Amino acid sequence: MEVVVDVSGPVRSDEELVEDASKGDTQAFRQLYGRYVGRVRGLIYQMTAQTDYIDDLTQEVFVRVFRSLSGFRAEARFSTWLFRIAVNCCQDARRQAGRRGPTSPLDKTLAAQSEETLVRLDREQLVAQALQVLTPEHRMVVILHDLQDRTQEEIATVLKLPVGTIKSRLFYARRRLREWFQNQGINL
Amino acid sequence: MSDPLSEFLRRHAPEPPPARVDLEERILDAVRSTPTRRVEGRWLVACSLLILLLGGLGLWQQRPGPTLPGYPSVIWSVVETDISLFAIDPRTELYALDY
Repeated sequence: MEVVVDVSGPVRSDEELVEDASKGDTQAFRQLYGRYVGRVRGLIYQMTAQTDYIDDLTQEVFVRVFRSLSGFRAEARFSTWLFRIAVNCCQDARRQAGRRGPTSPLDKTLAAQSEETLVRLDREQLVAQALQVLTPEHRMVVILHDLQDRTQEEIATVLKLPVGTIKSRLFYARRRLREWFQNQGINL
Repeated sequence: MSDPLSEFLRRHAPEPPPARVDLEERILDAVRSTPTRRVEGRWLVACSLLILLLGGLGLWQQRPGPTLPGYPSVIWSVVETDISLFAIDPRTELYALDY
């Protein structure tokens, strides 16, 4: 995950940066980008399991965000709003990919990697495969909750669903994941 | 207390490859080259008002108002944006508002 620390002055809140960026402040724009690009790319990668479109989708997310900044009313946190846009982009991409046909997930090159890296990539591949076992709806909830550290209430806001639905999806998704990992010899 | 499944997923979360070096600049260029929603909204409102005005003028020219013996003819119209009702006396060009 990318962490950007601005040592040139006091850390400005998202809301301050949003206000300035909506007035055309490029530096505020860059700070928001630096603060969230890692999370957005992580979400896109985990959700789509594709390396080909990450940068294009990341661009789509941030362009949508910054085009709509003037409409952001701070009723929700900026990060929640950003995640909602990212989720929408992922869902759009999934629909388009569905029309194009299936592709191979997570095409990482394993050649010429150290043993330690291979083990890490192996586990990452395992988690990636496990996530692909889930339905897109269940996968999104697990990714937002367990991989992106969002609360159930925030996920409900992002997906515009009742919290009860999020709890239910999380329950069934986790049960499915435990079964899948158990079949791979991993008891969790 | 952390759940072992959550812990495992978090520790081994698939990480995306590094972003293109010029991604940030590409995004900035894309944002700069497109109008913001605020401008689009402004144009939308202006176009809506223009269409409403032209439509209203068309109605004014085509539809004679109701006439009553002994009363001046009036033209009724409804402005949909604020649901206000007004009547125009073509002789005096005065109008009255009713709610």
